[in-house]
Amino acid sequence: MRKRVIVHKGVYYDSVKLMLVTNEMNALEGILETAVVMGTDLNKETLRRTDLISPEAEAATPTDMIVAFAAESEAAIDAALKNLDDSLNARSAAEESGAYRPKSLDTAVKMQPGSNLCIISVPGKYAKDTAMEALRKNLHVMLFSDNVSLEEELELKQYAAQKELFVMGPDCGTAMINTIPLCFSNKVNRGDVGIVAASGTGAQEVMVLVSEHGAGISQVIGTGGRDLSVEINGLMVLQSLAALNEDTETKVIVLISKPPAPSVAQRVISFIKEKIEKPVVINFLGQSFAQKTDGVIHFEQTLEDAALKAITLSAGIKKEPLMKNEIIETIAANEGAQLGDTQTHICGLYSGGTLAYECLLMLEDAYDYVESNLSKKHKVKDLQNLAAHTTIDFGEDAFTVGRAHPMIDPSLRNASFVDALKNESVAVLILDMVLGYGAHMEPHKVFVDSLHKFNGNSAVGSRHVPVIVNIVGSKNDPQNYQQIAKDLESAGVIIAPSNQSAVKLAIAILEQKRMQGGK
Amino acid sequence: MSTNALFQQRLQVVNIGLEQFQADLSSQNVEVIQLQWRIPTTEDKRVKAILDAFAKLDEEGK
Repeated sequence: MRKRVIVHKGVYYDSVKLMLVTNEMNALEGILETAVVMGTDLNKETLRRTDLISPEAEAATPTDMIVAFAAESEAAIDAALKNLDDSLNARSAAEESGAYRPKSLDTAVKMQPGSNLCIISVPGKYAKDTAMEALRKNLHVMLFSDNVSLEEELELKQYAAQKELFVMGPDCGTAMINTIPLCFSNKVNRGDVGIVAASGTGAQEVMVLVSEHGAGISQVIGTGGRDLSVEINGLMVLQSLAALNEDTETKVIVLISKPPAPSVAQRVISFIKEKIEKPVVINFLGQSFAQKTDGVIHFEQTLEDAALKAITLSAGIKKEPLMKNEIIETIAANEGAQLGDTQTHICGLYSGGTLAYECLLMLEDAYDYVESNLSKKHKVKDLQNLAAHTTIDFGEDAFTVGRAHPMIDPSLRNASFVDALKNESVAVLILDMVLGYGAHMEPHKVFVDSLHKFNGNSAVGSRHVPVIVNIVGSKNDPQNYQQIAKDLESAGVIIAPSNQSAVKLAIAILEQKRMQGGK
Repeated sequence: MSTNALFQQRLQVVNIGLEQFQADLSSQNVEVIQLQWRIPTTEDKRVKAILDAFAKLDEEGK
């Protein structure tokens, strides 16, 4: 086997482009493994693990591109390098269409007069300056970039508030404005439920559930996950609530966030009581309230409950939980009976942060010890060898610096999925499968392939590992929802109608195994 | 202009960064222009401060 590692200083390509180029290189004859990545710590760590690192690559910075090959021969690497330039410089469909691409925002707004929204997904280091420039030009901003400091976020949001502009973000992956899904967002039915979300996949879960179960969506405004922190003090949440209150298409408002700082929660609740006339469903994930309602406010503890309450308020339909207890008990009895003695832990591998967090809260309610990269109490000790109830958010900053989000590039999450399948202590696996614009067209495929390989591998014995998947998607999304569900089911996966029901089911399976004493 | 004025407007988007977002919007017939973004040539804080000052003057119409 031959290896070659090359570093290109001061070269930038976006993470999706590099992922696609890596996939193209991997398909070439004689190439065993390729990595075309920016020189971030996470990427260098991955290169170390796969033994594709060199001293020069170790010294690379996030603004350097590392190209690493393992191949059958030097000739194969030479041929791949010739292809690499073509792939990196390949023109996208938009470029092929002949559309001129301006190099400055000044030129862009001159070329497209009436521009009103700027979507920004440049590396975090450059995001604030780019967003400020857009705000100065009176553009609303959707800031997809992460790794933006709190100080920078505050400066942007204070400036935007003066100009009555939205700053959706930073780290905002989901919005839907005037029925147009932006970045990671689903194609849902139009309706009168408006969503304000300090949580991307939380918004996706609720918008999909509302749309698929009897109502529709007017707007989804993402605020970035830290908007309800003490430092930002709900600047964009309050602005968004006020905007939806005035929006004639919106009848019901849903507010989704991780539990805010208590002072900020109080500020938001007071603001709603004083200024908002429409019903507001609040889901501060996992936070319970003494009363279920307070004036126009309805408090709900889970994303599913928030969605069902919004449907009730919008369409007057009283909804039952999406997965009935009898169904959960039946599946749990069947699956629990097939588990072995060593299988003791639930493992949630998520691409969606809020879904991972909801899973963490539910597991912590059921068990004393749960590990998670989202937990303040117990961090994940060993990603390759999970030894406790665990939930992991693969979309967290540490996993996405210089590489595509797990909804676009499932490879990291799939590697952990394979490790977890082989892990004798894992009893049940939970995955989210997020569909919609921005997401992978076949996000399930690598997991289905891994499952087929696992099930066909006699070396792991007859161990049965139930895999529960919540598909966060609508039938109108660009992906083929029905086919994805069919492929998953044919690999033995249990499809749950929501994240809440997926976790409930996992806990019920383990409880059944405990009651039945295992195999 | 107020924040919710955006809800009455046709979306016209400038996309800076991931090209997938531009492609997704185009496929929905949304007017979108893709910026050809590159890492800034200077990271010198003094130069950035001067450029910011110019941008502010420009905004104030001076």
